[in-house]
Amino acid sequence: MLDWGTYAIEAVGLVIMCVWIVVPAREFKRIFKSLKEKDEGSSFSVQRSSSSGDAEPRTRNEERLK
Amino acid sequence: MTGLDYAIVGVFLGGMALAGLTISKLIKQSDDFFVAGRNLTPFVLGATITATNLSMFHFIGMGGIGYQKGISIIWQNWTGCMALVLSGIFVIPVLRRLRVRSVPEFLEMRYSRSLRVMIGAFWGLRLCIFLGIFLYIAATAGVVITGWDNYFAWLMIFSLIAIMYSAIGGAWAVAIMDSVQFAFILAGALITFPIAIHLAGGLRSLSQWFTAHGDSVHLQLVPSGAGEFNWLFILAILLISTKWATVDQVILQRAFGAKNPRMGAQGMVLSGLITTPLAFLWILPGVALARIHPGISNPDHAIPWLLSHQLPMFGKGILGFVLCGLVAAQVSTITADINSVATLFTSDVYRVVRRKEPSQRQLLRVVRFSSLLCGALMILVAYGLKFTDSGAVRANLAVVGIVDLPLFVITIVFGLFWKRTTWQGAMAGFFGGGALGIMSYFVIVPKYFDGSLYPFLHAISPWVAAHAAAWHENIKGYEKSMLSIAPFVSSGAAVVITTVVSLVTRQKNYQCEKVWECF
Repeated sequence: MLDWGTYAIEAVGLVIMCVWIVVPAREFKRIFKSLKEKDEGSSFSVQRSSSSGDAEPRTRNEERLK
Repeated sequence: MTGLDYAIVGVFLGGMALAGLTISKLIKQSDDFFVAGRNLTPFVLGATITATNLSMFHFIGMGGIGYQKGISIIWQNWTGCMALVLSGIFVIPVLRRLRVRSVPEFLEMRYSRSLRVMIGAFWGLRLCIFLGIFLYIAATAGVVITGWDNYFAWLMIFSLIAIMYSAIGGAWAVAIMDSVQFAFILAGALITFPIAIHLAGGLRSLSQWFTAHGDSVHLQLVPSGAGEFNWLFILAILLISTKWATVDQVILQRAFGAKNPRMGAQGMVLSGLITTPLAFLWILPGVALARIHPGISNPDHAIPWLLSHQLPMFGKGILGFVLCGLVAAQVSTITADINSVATLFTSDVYRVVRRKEPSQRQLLRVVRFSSLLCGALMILVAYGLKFTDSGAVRANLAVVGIVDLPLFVITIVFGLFWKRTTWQGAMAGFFGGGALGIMSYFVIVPKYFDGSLYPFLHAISPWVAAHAAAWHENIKGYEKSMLSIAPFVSSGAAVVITTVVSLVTRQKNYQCEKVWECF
């Protein structure tokens, strides 16, 4: 015998499971695509240095400016 | 367990091993192994942090405590969720901006190189013990569920695939497989939960049953009186959870794999938010079981009993599928921990102790060897635990609460908020706090309650002994809950020792401006 409390917990769990199947799958697809492009790019050009503008911000101020 | 159940679990284990081997192609340099090349995005991080956090300890250990003591053990989860959100907002962005791979690496930036090596080695060993506890729960569950009483064989089954794919695939394997395993963990919990509640007659009927049997404490979120999991426990576990979310290498290393500090923070917050409602899925089946089948003496055997005796009645293969979720939970935790131990040993001990900078190839060889070594130690600890009689949850809490809090104190409290702290102060605070915490848990509190500490107190001062005895009379019945003061003792001692030693010592010419720039 199940009541509304059980259904509510079950529904929240189901929603989380569905979201966490779909979204990470898309994100992984995007990550691998960009890694592949990076690999292909690095075979033609010299590896980018940290001063190329693509470097990650090191401080909070740099993060804001970016 | 039927042949179909065994076949489902077998296919799942085979699939994981195969995936680990395939993912190993992504490992080209050490950063790929340690932090997945710092490419992870918020939802992937949310999945990997949650899957790393969830293990059989939650389903079997905490479900078992839910069976024995009631729903209040849920605070262990909830305080962890709160701490994950806070850490994601305030701590992770700072550490991620520093581009560190581990907490000891931060300690080198902030204090000294020797502290990095010492805490790296110590933390690595402590993680091996922690892994041993997880493995012990898994093997115990394997024995109870299948009836095949070969503990050592179960240790091997649970650990070999995890060791293999974390040694080969590193953080990439952990991140990708964690996302898959998270879905399996949830699916397993979503099947078990309604079955357990159905067998108990529904949540309302369960509540009425506990009230009728004079056991309403089972459904109290904060039990009144001298219960083991009362408000003192909740406060202690809140302190421990804050520590866990801010300095635990296993959790932080997943967050360090984020593409940027903002994504790291988002991943942590997402993980905290989704785990909060999910906690009911593994605590309530245990609570329901107290009505379905009372009288199980070892709480670690309660949920395995539910799985092996009740689940097969609801359809063929259901038990196999739920077991895949449990195995997934276990393997995701073990692999993440092994990856962290390998990082600590390679990055914080081997690389620092070795004077010449090793090549990427040498680093990868060492990191894989340390993964294997960690696996062997974990099996050894789990084998030893078979001969103890304490519940896994309590063993876990004792280790975590006492040893870990001084690290939180020197890393977060003093490392980020008091510039005057010296490396001597940090080191003294870490070891002094840990030693006093262990003494209070294993010696001072038990000896105080059995009276054998009084002659010693009397030798110091009859007045102190008299007052200690009077206080003992006042708190009779609270003996077990007083063990919860050990985390406060270890962290309090660490605060005092670090402050005093830092004030009487001086750190010469140490450059830690980089740390302050990242605020």
